[in-house]
Amino acid sequence: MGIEHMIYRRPNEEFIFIKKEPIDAKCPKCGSTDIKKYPIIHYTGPRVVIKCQSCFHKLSMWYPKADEMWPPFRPATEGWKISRSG
Amino acid sequence: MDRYFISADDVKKTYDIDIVTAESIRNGLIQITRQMQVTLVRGALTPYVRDMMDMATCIHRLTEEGSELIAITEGCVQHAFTQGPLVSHILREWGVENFQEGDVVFTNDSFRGSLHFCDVNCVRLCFWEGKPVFVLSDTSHIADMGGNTAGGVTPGATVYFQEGIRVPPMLLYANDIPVRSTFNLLLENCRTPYLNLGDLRALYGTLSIGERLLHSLIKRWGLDNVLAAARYTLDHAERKARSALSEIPDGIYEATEFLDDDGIEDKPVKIHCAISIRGDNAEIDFSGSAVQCLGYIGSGWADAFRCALGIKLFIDPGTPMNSGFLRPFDAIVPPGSVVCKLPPGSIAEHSQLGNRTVSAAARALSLALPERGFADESATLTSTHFEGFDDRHGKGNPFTTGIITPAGWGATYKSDGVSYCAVAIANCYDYIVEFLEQEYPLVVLEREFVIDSGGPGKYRGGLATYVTLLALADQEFNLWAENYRGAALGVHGGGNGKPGYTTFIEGTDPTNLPTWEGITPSKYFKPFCGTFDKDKRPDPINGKYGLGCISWSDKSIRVRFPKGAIFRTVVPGAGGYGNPLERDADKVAQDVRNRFVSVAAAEESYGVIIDPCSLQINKEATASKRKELSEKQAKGEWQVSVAHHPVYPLETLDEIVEIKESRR
Amino acid sequence: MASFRVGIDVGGTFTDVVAIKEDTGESFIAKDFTTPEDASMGVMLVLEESGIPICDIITIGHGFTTGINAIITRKGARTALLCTKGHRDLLDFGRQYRPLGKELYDPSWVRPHQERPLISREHRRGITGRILWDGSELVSLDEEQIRQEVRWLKQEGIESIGICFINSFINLEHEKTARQIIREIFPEAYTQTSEIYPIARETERTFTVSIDAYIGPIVGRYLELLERKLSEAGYQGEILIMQLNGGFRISRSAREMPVYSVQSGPVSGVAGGELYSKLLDSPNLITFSMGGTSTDVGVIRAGKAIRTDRWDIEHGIILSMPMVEVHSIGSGGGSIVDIDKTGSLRIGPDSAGASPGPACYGFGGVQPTLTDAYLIMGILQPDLFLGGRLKLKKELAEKALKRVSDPLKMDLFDLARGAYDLASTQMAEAVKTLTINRGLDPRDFGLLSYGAAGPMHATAVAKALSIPTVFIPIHPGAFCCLGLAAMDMKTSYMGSFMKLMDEVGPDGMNKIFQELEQKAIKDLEKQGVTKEHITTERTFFGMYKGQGWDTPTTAPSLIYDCKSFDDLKEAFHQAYYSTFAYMARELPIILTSAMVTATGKLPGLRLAEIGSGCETVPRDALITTRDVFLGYRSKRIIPFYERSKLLAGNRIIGPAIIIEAFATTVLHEGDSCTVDKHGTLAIRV
Repeated sequence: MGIEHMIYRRPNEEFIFIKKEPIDAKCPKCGSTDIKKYPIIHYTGPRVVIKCQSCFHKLSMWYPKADEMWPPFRPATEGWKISRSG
Repeated sequence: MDRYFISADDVKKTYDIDIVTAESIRNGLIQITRQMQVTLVRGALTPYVRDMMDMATCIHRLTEEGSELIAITEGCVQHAFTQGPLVSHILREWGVENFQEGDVVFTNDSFRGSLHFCDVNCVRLCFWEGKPVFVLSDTSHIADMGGNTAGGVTPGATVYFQEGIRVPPMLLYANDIPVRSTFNLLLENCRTPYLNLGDLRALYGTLSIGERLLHSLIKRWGLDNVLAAARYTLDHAERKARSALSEIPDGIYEATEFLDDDGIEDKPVKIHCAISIRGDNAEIDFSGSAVQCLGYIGSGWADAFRCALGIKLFIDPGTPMNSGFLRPFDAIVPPGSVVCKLPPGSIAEHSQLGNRTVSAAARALSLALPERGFADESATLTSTHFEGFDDRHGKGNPFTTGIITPAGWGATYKSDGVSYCAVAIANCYDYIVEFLEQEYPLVVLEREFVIDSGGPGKYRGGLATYVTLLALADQEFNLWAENYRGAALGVHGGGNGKPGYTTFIEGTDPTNLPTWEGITPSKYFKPFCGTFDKDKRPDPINGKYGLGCISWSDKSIRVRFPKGAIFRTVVPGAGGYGNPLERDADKVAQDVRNRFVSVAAAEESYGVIIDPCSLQINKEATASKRKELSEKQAKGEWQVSVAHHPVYPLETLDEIVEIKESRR
Repeated sequence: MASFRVGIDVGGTFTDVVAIKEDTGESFIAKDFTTPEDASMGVMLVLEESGIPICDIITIGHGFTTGINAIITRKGARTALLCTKGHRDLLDFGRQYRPLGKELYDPSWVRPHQERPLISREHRRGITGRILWDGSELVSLDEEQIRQEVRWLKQEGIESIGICFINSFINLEHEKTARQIIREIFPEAYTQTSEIYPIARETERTFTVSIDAYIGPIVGRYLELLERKLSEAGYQGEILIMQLNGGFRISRSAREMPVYSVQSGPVSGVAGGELYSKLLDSPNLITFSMGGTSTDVGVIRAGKAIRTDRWDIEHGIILSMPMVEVHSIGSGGGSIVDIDKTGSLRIGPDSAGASPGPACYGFGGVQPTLTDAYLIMGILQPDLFLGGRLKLKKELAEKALKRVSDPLKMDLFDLARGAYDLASTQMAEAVKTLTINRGLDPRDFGLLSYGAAGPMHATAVAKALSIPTVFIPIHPGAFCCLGLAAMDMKTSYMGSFMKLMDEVGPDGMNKIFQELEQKAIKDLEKQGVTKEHITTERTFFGMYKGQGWDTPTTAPSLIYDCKSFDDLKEAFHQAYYSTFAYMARELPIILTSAMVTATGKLPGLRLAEIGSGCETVPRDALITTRDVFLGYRSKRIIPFYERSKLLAGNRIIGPAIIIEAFATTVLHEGDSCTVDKHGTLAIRV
């Protein structure tokens, strides 16, 4: 769970890119099949989207699951029962 | 008719509220945050808040996704872009259902969307008839959160453990009663407990006042109307943003910016920003930016939207900021890059990065759309943080304080850049010299504009400022600066702004400083950091970053500043816009009379010949000089250089022509 | 022989005169256009029109806009500034901050003083010489350099020189020496130093000195001229000049420190509010004045106008001195009703101003203004405006408003009514700024409304804030003059200390206040006030150690001992708490400054009583009934009354409209208006 998402080593690459993962789908809005899945920052916080690359229509968007490593840091206590003081 | 226009009937249909009520409440919500801002600024203890207004006060609404920022009063402008995502993210983690009336949750965690550990955030839910209906938040820069050096911005830090304590969301007040364990944690891990206590109380008091005002607004208009007007307010900002985005042709717009270095490795740090526009949607992508640096420069994921400030400056400066503006955007920050550091990387110095992500985003659009473009701002909050013992009263009181020296904004398609203005991501009052000298063993000997520092252009970039300080007690400082190696870039033919540099003044004393418009003969100083030539001339053209300097980097820690020493910082100037040969010659002459431009630079950069004695234009000589330069320019043999002093004196100020020739 | 007290207010557009007959309290009003080139011309003209023989006038209270106009139009004196070497850009720095609002995000925004300087950079001269934090000298003053600079400035055609050095609040010697040198070699120049207001804060002080120098010669010339003309016309008294602190200073003395009377209109109104507060026996009043281009709000608490020490004349052009607090917004009857690209409806900030004015004036204005909305609603009637002197054109108002209502697909009358409501809400927000936002509850106040447009919105504003009663004074269109006929002399002295309060101690506080009191009393005595008419009031400004903004606290006038000194500190904590919702008793308090305000009481003013009647309004007061849209999509026939015909004791139940020469009062459904013995309309909302 979260405990693995607390400390990372620095990447080796000189420049860093996000990988957009191709998805086999068709955009309901413009018909394009250039559909990709990737992590974003949305105005309500970190999310993962499946999004048409030709018109930017969002096919779906969700709060990242634990194994989606996004945002990179996730608290170890995620999902624990909450006490009065948090 | 603009397709984003909605009629009064549409307003009624969509929100079940009439347009007059909607507009009244929209304004009312902003006014509440204004009053919260006044309360926080005047109530806070740290100079970061009371003078520099490094704070913000916000109202959000609850949504299924978390929350949306409805209204904000920006002290520091960046918060208008980061508070929305941050608060929404925290609410999700804490759980709205776990808030009780009078609970305040505190966090400073950069890996949860805050900016750095000294920027602390408080969140309180506003209840109405027992139910949470709105969210109030405020944020301010607290004096110290522990760590290796005072003030939290720790040059040399490589992991966040060195910069201070990281506080995940914690309960600060439970039902309006202070939570002692949280207060103890926060007060026992800093150098300035009394300042922090005052600031925490001010943050809490501000939220209480916000809630009181919000209650009176709800009472006046009814909850349903206020909720409807909140939706209207957000949609209105969204419509404005979409309308402006739809006017920009679809495409990808890109720009690159470089930070000087990270204080550890002697190499520039690359920021790459691509803005893709499809209709009225946009995506901001920082792919291709440098790997997270070893040093303290970087941010968690806050820059994803902080950079959108650059876009706002460009497309819609007029509408009050809220989450509606950000709705058309998604942002991509590659994990492990400098804009999305992985823990435990240090994110202490987030602001210099933020300046560059904003400049990059604005520049991407400016390059593509010259008719509305503007040049880079100086892009640095040149900060010096002092620490030591004040023995003026015989007791040796410990002190710590920071000063920020502002520079200029880039020239635009229609105007010279403003000078002495905080960077776009901030907005500050400057420090009061007379208060500073009362409180700390420092004397501000000089603080003025620097000649030949604004990027030349049809419109000139904002000017740099220089500050000369005398120590009245032994102390140390940390310096963090930018654009000492690089420069604020000009656009569309405009020159770059003059890079900054820092020196120790030697071989003279405060009663007799040989200074003219920021220039002191190099004989009288020792370079501390910056770009100098072998004769110690600050020289961005032939000089080398770090040459002959005490510090190779413009991020330095624990520099000894003994009693009687004099230290000067010259901040960088901003970029110019357009061809300087097209600048109105009378304006150049006026700049020369005001000592914004020297006689030598007027000739070299603008092709305008000014008599050094009368300061009048020589019209004939100017016409032929401008003709000559234009022809060379057309052939590619001439282009305006970065702003600099064409003649930098080594021994005496008399080497400058207007001083030598002057009658006085 | 009849004798009169006269108030003369020179505004941007109009010069107003109100004269009060000393024995009966009857009042007379006259109004005409201001003569901007030489305002004294207009003053003499309106005095003549008023029909009051000048030799029958016993006192003249006067407010004018010569100073503020010179600043706004940058037509002040050719001015130079001597400042500490290395600190000559304070005016351009303007404390660095950007305005909140649309300028915050505008890359082309330039700070006003950088764009249009009062004192150009080449005439700001850095002088070698430096005082340190404790008043000691780090660098001695280069007197020879001052001589050179002054000679050069003289050649440059400079008429006025301000002097402001760093840390002079604690040691004025360098400034005094510099002034002495100027007097020797350039005696004809106007000079000013930090002595005028020696507070700690170099930028604010530099502005105060610079603005004074900038307007000094012009205001001096104007007042001298006016003194001469009035004296030639037979006036034998002093001309009493209204200052920003809400009290008078005699003209001769005002000429030496014109910055204190840079603007007087809004302040005079609030001062008139103090008078009404007594008259109405209503200690808490909010003054709400709405004119053509701006709305001014002030607050009177326990009979006294609240004060502040800071005013941004333009953004970053900061005037710091004790002044009556007036919150102004750039919104008035001339404000333009507008929509943005997405259909968001707004009032202002653009205004049609005096020229071309609202569309319905027929002077060429095409954009819809609030005044056009009033006309369409029927609040203003084409034939009853300005006593019938200007016929309003309804068709032009309609055409203008359609520019907004058509795209919004909104009913024209609803738009007019909506604009009226939106404006009322804006006004209510302005009132909130000084009340709710300061922890004052508007329900504890009455709303005193004046200005040509104020009484049209007053009851709506009161309703929005649950203010129970609205008062409309006599002559709401020239109310400032009433204040000018009725105020007292006032002077404020300030010193800055920047010391821990505990270090100052009771003895220190006694010394500080006694010294300031002596100065203030001496000043009033020099202006001819006798000692028994002088009262003083103490205020100290404190902040918790570490803070940068100070908070004023009133202090009792007594000799402090340990106990009463502790009371002072406690009073500070309480004052702090009421503003900031927390206090920090464990933190030391820094005494930033102390102030003494001395008031020289002038004989009280008596206003005449009007004839009395019963609840029923006399028949001849009802002049007409007309269709008016006071609700959405519903017009009603409502009565119009002539105010001068109303008698004390009359009662009018809304909806109704009460008109007079320079103002219109609107009563909404449910408003209940009674006329009191002085003719004041008291409206329960």
